[in-house]
Amino acid sequence: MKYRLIGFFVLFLLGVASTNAQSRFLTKQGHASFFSKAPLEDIEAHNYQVMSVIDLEDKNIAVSMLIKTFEFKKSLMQEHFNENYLESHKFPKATFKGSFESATPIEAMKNATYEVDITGVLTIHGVAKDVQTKGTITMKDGKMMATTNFKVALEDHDVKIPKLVVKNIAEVVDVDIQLNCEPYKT
Amino acid sequence: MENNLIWMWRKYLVGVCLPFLVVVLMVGCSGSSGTVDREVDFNLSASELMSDYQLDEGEADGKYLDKVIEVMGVLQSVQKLKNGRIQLSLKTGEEIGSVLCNLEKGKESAIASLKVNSPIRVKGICMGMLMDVLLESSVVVN
Repeated sequence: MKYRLIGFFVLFLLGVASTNAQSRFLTKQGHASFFSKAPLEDIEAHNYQVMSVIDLEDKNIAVSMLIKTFEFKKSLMQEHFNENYLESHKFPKATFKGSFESATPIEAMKNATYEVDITGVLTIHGVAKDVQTKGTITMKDGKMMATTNFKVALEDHDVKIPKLVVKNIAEVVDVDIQLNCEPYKT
Repeated sequence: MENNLIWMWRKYLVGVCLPFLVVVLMVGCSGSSGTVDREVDFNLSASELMSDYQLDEGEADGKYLDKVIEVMGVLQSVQKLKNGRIQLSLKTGEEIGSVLCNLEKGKESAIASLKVNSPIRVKGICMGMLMDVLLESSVVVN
């Protein structure tokens, strides 16, 4: 029972342990950013400690990040983001777990870029939402760079914005993800 | 006479109160005084911290999140993140998963005396766990 709650990614990695190690790619230093454009101000935040495991054989992708590691230009914004809007003390992580499809099979050892269709479940603020988006996977010298961007409606994840600051924060924010992954070997 | 009193008050306000207010505002706006001055909430080894997270992540979050932790361990690596921050990795005895400590801005000089595979004590604020347990605003404890 106690072990049931082992971290999401540890479970994920153990779950795919039987697959070919060459097909799995890992990063602990992926980059996620979001941009909010509102009438009174633009807000941008970056997270450089995004973790991801991408499996070319099973075509699975899992991404996880700690909300508290998003960095804002203004510390007060960061404080409000964590304490009032995303409530990171209650919901410390944002996660995505899904799969991808490409028109041609992705070869780990061939330098090429592939367009992929991604589907999965995005969980932010404890609220899960189905997501469909497009992305690219670039293989170069045995390493992988995966990118995607999509929009997130704050309402979909039950993120409440007080009326007082409604002109400072966009209802829909643009999210960019860049994952520079290395082959994961057990 | 009345003019002299008003002039003295003005001098007092500008010369004494205004600088005092500026100092108070500067200290107030600068946020917390940093991890180094904060009292330690938990003192434990890197492997104990990882073990608590692996047993029950939710319970460990409830216990450690936002708390100041002084962690003892063996230094595995020192690396620079893409945002320029220095990150120390402490061994936990686990095959996957370590305790990552992002150094507080301005405390980076501490790495000069660090040696990989040597014991180290680091004090930082617990952010939670992905594959590793993460401590932010960390300082190396002598």
